[in-house]
Amino acid sequence: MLGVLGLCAIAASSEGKLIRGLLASAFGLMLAFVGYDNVGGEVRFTLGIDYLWDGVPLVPALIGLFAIAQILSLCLAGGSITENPAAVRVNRVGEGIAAVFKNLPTVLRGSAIGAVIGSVPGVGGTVAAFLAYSTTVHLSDEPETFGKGNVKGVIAPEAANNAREGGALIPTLAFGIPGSAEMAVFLGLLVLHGLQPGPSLLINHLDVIASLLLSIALASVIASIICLALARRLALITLVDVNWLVPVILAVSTVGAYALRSNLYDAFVAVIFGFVGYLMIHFDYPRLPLVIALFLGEVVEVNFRQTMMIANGDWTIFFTRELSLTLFVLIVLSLSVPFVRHVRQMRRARAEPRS
Amino acid sequence: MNRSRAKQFLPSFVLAVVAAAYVWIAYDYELGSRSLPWIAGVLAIVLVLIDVAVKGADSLSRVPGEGSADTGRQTAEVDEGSRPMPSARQELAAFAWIGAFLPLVVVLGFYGAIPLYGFCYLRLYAGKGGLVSAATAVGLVVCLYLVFEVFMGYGIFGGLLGGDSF
Repeated sequence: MLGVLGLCAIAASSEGKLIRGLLASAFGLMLAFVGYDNVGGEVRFTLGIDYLWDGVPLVPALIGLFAIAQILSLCLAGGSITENPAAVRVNRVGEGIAAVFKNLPTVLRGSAIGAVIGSVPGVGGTVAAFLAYSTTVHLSDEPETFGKGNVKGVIAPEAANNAREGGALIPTLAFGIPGSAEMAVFLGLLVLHGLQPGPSLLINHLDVIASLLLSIALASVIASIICLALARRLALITLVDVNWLVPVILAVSTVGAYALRSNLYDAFVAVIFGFVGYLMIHFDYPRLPLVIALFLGEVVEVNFRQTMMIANGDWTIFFTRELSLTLFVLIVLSLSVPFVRHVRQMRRARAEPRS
Repeated sequence: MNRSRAKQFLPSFVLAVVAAAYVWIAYDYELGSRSLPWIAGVLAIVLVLIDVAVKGADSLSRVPGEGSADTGRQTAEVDEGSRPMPSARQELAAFAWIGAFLPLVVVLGFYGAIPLYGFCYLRLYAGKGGLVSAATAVGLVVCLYLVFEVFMGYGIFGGLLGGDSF
């Protein structure tokens, strides 16, 4: 239910493209179901291609949909990303830092969402950032400004993104259940150092917990300083003729896609998804819901089928338990927000000529 | 139905066909394995139909010659500013240029394909100078070698000519 909520919220936050966002989510889910069925053991939708037994790989798909699709756009557009050197000057850094403190409710909301979602094993942090973003868009009086320079659209997901690591520590340290791949590695390191995750760790080794929390906080600050130092130079890339960038990005993207699993088919997947991504840009379909659905599909299916087994195939379990009913209500609310917003805009438009 | 309207509905048609084929294939699997794929496929078909209905209503409400509702949005998505939309021929050429990289990689490996492709792209497609194109292509492959092989220790595909298989 949490996965479906994430998908609906992300689709709903695609300004003016709810149907297309949901459509992209549906296709993302369809792609996520390709390969070996972890519950039933059946191989599905592979079209006889052995490579697809493991499913559609997420990272090459992500590289294709965003990096390669973008270089296709650049390749066709020519020129430079921006023609105006004044537009790429990294200035008003202080204003940006001040904006964080001016928008403390957004920071706190994003952090809370990040911590809560991050603490759910399996679903983890990828959803957190997007859920924080969509919540901020929904609650804003100016949703049309998001994606066009509204700083809250950056603050909310980044706050969630940073908070999710803290949230993911809860099941990892308290129960020994890693919420993500990073936490699984972290868990292994704890065991390697003779620390057994579980309630006893929280009671007997509070010093370790405190240093962990401080490390996470400190790492965020140091990373911010490094990024600020590099930002001015990196911004100059937008002035370079895009034709110089195309072979560079293509080479880095395909080598990156290949290097992850040393599988050349991953580079093919990246390029195929690059073409798909370009067509999605061209025909005005949002790409993000597809990626999130691709990521969440397996989690959603495994949990759905486990739930159905527990409930002996009784669908009403999704509406009779308090938590699942709450999530269902949130799904309905997230889908109704665009309609409510549309009605409000219509009313405002009618009221303006009168005034 | 004129050509622009046909183009407007083409993606919906393709998506509907893909989703229908997906649902049809899903019927071959056991009930447990097909339940969610079937739901996702049917949902996709329903959403495509709604999208078509919305587009249809939108296009009917417009005066012929005024342009489709999508045109403005496409321009805004692909390029900021007032750059014109590329023609289908230009798009196919770009697809071919990007797609041509992979056969080169298969044959020559990344370290052979990257300088060759980089040079050809910059010289032939972008019309840059020969020397600067060659320098960029070689510089790029050296950087990638340092990052992936030396610093990160990844073994990069050497190509069929280099004796690697995939």
